[in-house]
Amino acid sequence: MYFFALASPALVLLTLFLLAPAVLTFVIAFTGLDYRFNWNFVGFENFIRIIRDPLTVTILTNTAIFVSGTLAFNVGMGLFLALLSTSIRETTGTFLRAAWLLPRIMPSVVFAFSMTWFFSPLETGTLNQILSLLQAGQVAFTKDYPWPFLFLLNGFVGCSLGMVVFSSAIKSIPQDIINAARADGASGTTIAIKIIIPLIRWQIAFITAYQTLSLLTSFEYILLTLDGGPGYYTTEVWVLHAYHRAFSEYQLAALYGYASALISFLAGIGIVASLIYWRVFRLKELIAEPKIEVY
Amino acid sequence: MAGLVVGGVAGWSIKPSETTGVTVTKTVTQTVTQQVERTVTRTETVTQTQPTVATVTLSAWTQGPERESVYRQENLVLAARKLSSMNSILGAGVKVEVTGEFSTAPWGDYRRKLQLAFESKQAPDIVLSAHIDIAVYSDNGWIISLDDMIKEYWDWVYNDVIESLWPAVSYKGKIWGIPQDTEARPVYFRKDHLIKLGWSEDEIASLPKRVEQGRFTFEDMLNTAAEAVKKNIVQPGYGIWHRPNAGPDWPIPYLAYGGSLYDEKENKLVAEMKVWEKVFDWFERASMKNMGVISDKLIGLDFNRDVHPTVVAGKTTFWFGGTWHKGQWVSSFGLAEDDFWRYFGFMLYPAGEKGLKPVTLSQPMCYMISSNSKYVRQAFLVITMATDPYLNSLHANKSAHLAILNSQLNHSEYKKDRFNAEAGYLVAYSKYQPMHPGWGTYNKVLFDVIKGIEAGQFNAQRAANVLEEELKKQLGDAIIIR
Amino acid sequence: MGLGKILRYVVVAALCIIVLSPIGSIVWLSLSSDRNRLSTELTLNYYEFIQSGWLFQDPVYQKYYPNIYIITLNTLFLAGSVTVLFVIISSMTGYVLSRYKIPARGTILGFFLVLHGFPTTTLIISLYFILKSMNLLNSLWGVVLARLTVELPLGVWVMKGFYDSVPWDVEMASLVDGAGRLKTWWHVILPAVKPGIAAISIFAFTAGWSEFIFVYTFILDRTTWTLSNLIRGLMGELGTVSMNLIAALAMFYTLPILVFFIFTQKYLLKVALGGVKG
Repeated sequence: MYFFALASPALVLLTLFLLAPAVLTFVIAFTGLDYRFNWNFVGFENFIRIIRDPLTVTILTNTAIFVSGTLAFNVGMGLFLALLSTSIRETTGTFLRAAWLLPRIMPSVVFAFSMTWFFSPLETGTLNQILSLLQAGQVAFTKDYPWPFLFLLNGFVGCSLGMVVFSSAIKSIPQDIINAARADGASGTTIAIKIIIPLIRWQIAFITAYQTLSLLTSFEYILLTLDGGPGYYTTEVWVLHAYHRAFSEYQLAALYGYASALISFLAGIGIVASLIYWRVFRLKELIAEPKIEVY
Repeated sequence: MAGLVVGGVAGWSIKPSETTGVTVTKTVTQTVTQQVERTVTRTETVTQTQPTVATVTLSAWTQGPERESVYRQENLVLAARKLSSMNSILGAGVKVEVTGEFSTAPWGDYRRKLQLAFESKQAPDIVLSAHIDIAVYSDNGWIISLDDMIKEYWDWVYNDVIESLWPAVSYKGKIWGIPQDTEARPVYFRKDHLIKLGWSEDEIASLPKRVEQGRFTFEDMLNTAAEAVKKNIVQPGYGIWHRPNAGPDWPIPYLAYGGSLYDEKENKLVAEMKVWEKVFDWFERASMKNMGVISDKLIGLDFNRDVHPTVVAGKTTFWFGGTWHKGQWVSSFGLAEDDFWRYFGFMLYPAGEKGLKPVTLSQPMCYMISSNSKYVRQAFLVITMATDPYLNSLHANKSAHLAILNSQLNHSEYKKDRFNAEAGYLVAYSKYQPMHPGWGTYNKVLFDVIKGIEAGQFNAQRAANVLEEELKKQLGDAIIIR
Repeated sequence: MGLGKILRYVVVAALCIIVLSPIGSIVWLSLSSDRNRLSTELTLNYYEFIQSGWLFQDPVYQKYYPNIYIITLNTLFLAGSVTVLFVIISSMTGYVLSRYKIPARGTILGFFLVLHGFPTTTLIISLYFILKSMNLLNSLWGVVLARLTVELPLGVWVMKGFYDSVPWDVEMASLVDGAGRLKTWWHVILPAVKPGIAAISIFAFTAGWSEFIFVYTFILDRTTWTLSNLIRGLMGELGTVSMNLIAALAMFYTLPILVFFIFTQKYLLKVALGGVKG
């Protein structure tokens, strides 16, 4: 059967490297697996430890701050860029979008390095060098404003997704609608707010939902820059905490079981959220063409 | 018999022969495997001089992270070269090579790499790590005990090892590592700041002595730093700086206040809460909320990028550092040797209160042999040859670590370095971290708590409570809380 | 031009400057002659490693970091393998899901879509153990397979979309002519979905080239490092190593992919219509 022949590599890979790890995560969460590599069953102990840990509240708060702040930037900036780039000359618009795609295209280590150094608290940081030229004093940005820094760092990378999706959606809006509104004397801003945005609300909702989920589990840029600091778990988010517990213990703890329990919470949320999206966005129907509600 | 010989040589990694440029008498390895015979014929037709050479390739992983400590790896390579040249002169036909990596990664990453290798039985023959890891590695059966071989080679070099180092590499009655170097963790101070505070030349010169005699306490140091902040000699938060990450230094103030970390009889860790409260009280008063001596932004800075340059530039009055930092400053951070002596002094951690003793902590590095190694005796031989007063002094001088052999203390190479000579006395006051597998956890919890105090999140009392709770939770009955 | 329009272009200019500053300053830093800071005097010194591939001149330190070109080859290998496998497998799977009527088709498709949105980085801990048990830890193949699989749902879904847009009649005609399923696929259908293949190969190559977290977690030997690890490793030695060198290395690493992107971006953006980029 051609079907199986052609589909089997994908199925094998997905089972081995996606499904199996997902299941395994839940399994490890119930063991006391650590640097000793003993697969001993400990029941719910890890989960109870997580719930009882005073640190958990801090980490939950951090995660909430991180997700909401970055999401606001992602969607807001993405929308703004999409609206702006589609309302000017095509070539300029494309250039703008390409520039804002750069943070995403660059390797993460390089972008993280560039932002860390740009906002470095020392006088050698670019921002501070500029400020000292303007004689405007120095700002220890990454030390004093860790959250805005992270919003910018993840936001620059994240907003390009929304920007691209919204731009394409806007471009598919029939031009007559826009022309009609213009003929009626509406200004650019009014058109944007009253006409365009409502028309692409499906995309906006989708991006919001999609990025919420991916922000909940993103940690690479935080790891590369502030790494949970500065200070006592200042910017340590849930998934980063799990990574630290498993892979970055200074001495030998390597708490794989505990970390997997942390991940299980997230994975649970992820599964539930994905199912909800499936329903709410009627993704089944996404199979064919783009979704724009024109009435 | 032939079978034994074949088997023996087959156990070595056989490489094609090399020309050594030395006329060597034909060796006995002719009668073995076909491969060797082929190479012999090939060699003879080409060079007409050399016999075949079998190569023993040992693998070794060592760690800095500071690159000045590269001799930890180099010395093994040099030792192997010594062995090889001895062999070639004697016509023994065996070359020894040491391959592997010198890591400049953070300790967490290096340890993770080691653990993984140990667990999958693919660890290198020789491994370098902090002595403190012996407890865990030995409990897991990942390294072998070395007592027998040490006894065998006692007369070669091991009789020369400084006595006080052996307990650091002993665990549960056996020896598991060969000391590679040691250090001490002093408090560095800026002489120019003290001058600005109105201290006399005498007072400055006698400071280390007064600390040694217990006449200048931890409290006095805090007050001096606070004064420097108040008089604008340093910025607020720059009175006393310490390492920005986890490490062995954190228990030192506790030791200075007379606390004990380990109960040898019961083989359990110890936390004396009254002493911890004093320590946390000190940190609380030093924090930005109080006397403004220790910056709340310090933890989380990058060691190489932010901290060293700041200390070298003289922006801090006191620096809780390590003897090897001086080496780093001079090699990598642009501090001239003369400037070091002009501006910096160093002393023990002062006693917590009058009546107690000043302290420091040492964390010797040691070479260990993994239990999956197939070349145990060869590896031990290489380590033995690397434990040599000259080679070790090369390392000591480049990285500003301290001597491990008695004869080193008088060695011309070692004595070249003024710092080594002057810092030697610190070791007499050295304490070690407890050899207990739970120590890593204890240390981490401690670090997190102090982080919280400095960030202003905990006061001393709350810090002590958190410490006690966490220790109980994570260590259970491996710790005695008094 | 009205005030509104001028304002708009000013904003555009400002936005471009903002997003390009961090990157631009890295370029400048790599050419800057002052250590660790931007200076007006420029030099190419920090790019010396391109000649020999060695980062450091000191003979002892030199050998403890692998030659740049080995690491670059590793990076190319990773990016290339991921791309090739990704394209092949996505095309095959996309095709069957588009053409064959199997009972669970809708669910499987939905499954793929949901899987793509699923936070796959959370699986890193168990992936570690799975790769370890397959002896693929510390091997680039392990990273290739992991990254490949994690992005597969997207590739399948995109390709399926393209296959869907190839009318059935064309295919039917070819089959009726006696060409057979496989030949039809090769000669008729594949050319029609070329844009899709282009898009996903660009995406896969970029993802492979920039890969960090899997290499960081799974690869332990320096000789198996990719450029992203090398930069990360050097960042840990900052102070000892000058930022200018790291910036130069970062340029060496980023320029190829930037150029690649500039030439191929329109293919990638075509797919975004109604689709979701990774």
